[in-house]
Amino acid sequence: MTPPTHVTNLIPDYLLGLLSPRETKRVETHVHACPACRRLLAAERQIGQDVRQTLTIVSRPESGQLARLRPSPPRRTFIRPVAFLQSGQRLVAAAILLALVMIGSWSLHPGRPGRENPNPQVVTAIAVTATRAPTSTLAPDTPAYEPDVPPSPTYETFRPSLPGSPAMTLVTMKTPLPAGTPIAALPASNQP
Amino acid sequence: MSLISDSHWLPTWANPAEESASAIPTDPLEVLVARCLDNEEAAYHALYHHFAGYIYRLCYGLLQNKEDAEEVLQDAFEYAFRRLDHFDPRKASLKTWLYQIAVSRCRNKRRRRLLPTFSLHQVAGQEIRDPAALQPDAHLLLNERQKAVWRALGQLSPKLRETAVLRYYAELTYPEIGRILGISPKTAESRMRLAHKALKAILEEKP
Repeated sequence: MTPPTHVTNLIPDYLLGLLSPRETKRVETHVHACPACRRLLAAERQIGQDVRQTLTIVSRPESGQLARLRPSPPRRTFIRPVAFLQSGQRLVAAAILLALVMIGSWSLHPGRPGRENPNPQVVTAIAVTATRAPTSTLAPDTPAYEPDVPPSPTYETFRPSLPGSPAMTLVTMKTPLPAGTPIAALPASNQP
Repeated sequence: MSLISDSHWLPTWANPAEESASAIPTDPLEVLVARCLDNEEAAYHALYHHFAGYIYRLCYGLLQNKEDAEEVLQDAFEYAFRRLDHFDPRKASLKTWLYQIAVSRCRNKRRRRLLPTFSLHQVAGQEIRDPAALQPDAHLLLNERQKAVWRALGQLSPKLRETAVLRYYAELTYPEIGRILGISPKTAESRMRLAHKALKAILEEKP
């Protein structure tokens, strides 16, 4: 009859609760019948018991010691904080908030197709035009200055005075022109 | 069981580790937490008295110093009281949550201890106190074997000592140990194997 296989190498794991149920049963069955393994099991178990016992004795608090160390309770406001959300709920809330922000910024974007712009950007174009006659080079703020261009809903003009520069007509468009539109000269009737 | 009087919650200091949480059902603990959040000072006192022994012994085992353990105990409970509204009973028990805070504070304490500091003893040329040395009164209470065990515990690395104390003293499961230490249960099991092996080797070296 072959002697039973000792379970020496399994005893530490058995004590630490690291064996499978099958191995645990094997150790328990063997230890029941083997004095040598039983002694080894007792010695290994003693380590854990000694640690527990030593710590219990060494760290025994004195009378009133722990009570003296008790911290004061915090001062809480009477407004209870919002219940702690689970991580999944927080993610959903963050996604909804982000979507709302993106939708809002897109709807307010001036370049969005089909959106009427109630406040059109004023395009200022400077056109150097040939004049049939010398133009007045009076500055706009000169008292004699009179713009001879009839008022128009689409543009307004004035002629700035720049010494030594050709006469220029500054055309300020009130409404934006479509892209690619050439800067038109003033109407002939508006030429001096 | 009434939660009004503090005296119901005073544990037996002789061996609070064996005063298992099963003696007090978890529901009353959750009620106690709710009362704390409603600003009941008596509830805070009761909560402290119930868990202070466990936390103090855990800190003492990890830091091996009475003054450090007292400081961490106070610090841990101050933090726990302030953050009690963040405790989620679905994730861990109150005891595990408190252990987690205490272990974190112990690690901070240990890191600060490693910073270079100068004490009057060093300046005066006297021997630097061994932080793992037993207090004089504790020295008298232990036999030689227990003194050897205390020294062996101090020789373990901090990671192995944490695992050993949580397993041997607090008798926690490996998933609970993993949650407290921020590691997987498998890692906790590996560390426990190593801790047990190291303690055995150190103790067998002693005459």
